[in-house]
Amino acid sequence: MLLRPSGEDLRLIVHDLGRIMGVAAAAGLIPLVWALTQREWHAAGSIVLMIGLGIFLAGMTELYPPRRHRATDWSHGMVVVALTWLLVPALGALPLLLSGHYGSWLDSYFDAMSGLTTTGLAVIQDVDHLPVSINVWRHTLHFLGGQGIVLAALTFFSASGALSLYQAEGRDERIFPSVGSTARFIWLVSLAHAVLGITALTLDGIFAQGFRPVRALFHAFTLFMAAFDTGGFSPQSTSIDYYHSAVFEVVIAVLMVAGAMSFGLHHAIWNRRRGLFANLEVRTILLTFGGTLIVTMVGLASAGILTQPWPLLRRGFFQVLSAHTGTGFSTVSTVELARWPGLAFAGMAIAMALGGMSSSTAGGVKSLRIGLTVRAMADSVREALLPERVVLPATYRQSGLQRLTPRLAQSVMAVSLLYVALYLTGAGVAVAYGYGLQESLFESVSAAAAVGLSVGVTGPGMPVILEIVMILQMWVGRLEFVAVAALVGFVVAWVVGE
Amino acid sequence: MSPRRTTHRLVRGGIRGLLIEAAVVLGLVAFGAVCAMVVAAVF
Repeated sequence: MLLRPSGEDLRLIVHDLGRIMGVAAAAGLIPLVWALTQREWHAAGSIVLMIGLGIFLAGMTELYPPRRHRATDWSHGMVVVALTWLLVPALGALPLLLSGHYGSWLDSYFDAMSGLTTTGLAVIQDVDHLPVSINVWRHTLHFLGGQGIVLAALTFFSASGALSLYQAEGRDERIFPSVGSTARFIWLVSLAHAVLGITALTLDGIFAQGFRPVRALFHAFTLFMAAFDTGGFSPQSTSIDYYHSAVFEVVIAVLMVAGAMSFGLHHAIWNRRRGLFANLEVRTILLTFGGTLIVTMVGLASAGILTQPWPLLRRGFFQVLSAHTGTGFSTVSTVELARWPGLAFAGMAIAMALGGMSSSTAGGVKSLRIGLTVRAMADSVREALLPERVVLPATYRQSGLQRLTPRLAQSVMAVSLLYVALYLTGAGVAVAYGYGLQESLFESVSAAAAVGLSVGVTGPGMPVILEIVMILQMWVGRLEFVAVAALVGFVVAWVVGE
Repeated sequence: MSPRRTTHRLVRGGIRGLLIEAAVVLGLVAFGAVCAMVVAAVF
């Protein structure tokens, strides 16, 4: 028998949701500053409208607080997070829609969802002439989503039951005992990278690209948010290829690697902990990156597309790194990428599907799950080959020695299989609309693993059903299934529960 | 934590972190360069 949630449950959820919406709306102050300094009054008006609406909604929920003080438990946390990631893009889509660069509200919602989930796929029209402040807002959505919108909210108000909210957002790593301290550390890491990354990109923009200082700062600011949060939006339609700078690409590569690293690993590096390369996740991601890079390079060279070492390294390396970290920046055009041969396509698609590290801003199956799956399978084979009396110590290294229990192995394999199903679902819908199998699979993996590389399926005028499916893929993929399943369970219990 | 200590930690930890990340990227680039040369030579 299912227990129907009470009105008090709903009040608790709506109250937390309202506060988070308020924080998301307040993030609009960042593009608002840009709008005022650039004298983009129309864009400023649309951003003020969004901030006002967000604060109004937050205020409304404050009028109806929960009657009793009660901590947000696990199921409430999951439902709050799942709804947050559906509603914040709806709010964030407002300035995008009013900019006039989107064909419909669904298109602007797609881009807002793509921004928040740090995917980077876009259906915007003429991004090269988008107002600076609206472009900053698109990238701010990356920053909000990458850092974790709920984590951002937890920094400003200490919710009781903060841990359930924190974990529901796809982070299972507590660097410090308290969620507040963990949140502060995550902001500290981001701030350090922001200062150094934006400075390096601005200097390159001024001295190597010949930009004026404000323009260089705008490009550096937006690209930092997209790179460190493994987003993939770019102020220019030609992505990183626009800059034609190897130095720029190296700085972006460092930021992408930093973004795909778990914050636990950042903490270990900051505190000079040794034995980082013994970490199962670090070993796995280095191996999978090396493997997919070789496959992609062999594919490109054997098809005669890139045959010289330097272009092969520069294009192939950057594309695979961008795919594996889940960023989605590109140094080749969409048309050029679509012409890549099957083997290079496979290398890129596998890199995208595997994704970055757990508790990072990257999407995909995640290296820890891949490593654990392979370890569990290897242990099974070893057990089968050894005498029955021999008991193998099922352990792995990840911030110290951990036990690989059968339950952990099962849950890891279940989530990995769900990702495969998610990849195939989107590909199936795209194929049904007449797209080729190869490009459909590529685009579907790109959406569900929050990467953002495109071979042309995503764009203005794409089929509405496919657009909705890809929105759902981005949402489900970013939340790693559990929060979405909890929301579905909550709705079912509300309808049929007693 | 005092603002001075926070700033100190920010600068020290940030620079160390970025240096290690840059070293990792350079290591990956070096690996990629070897792969590119071998692949280009073979094909």
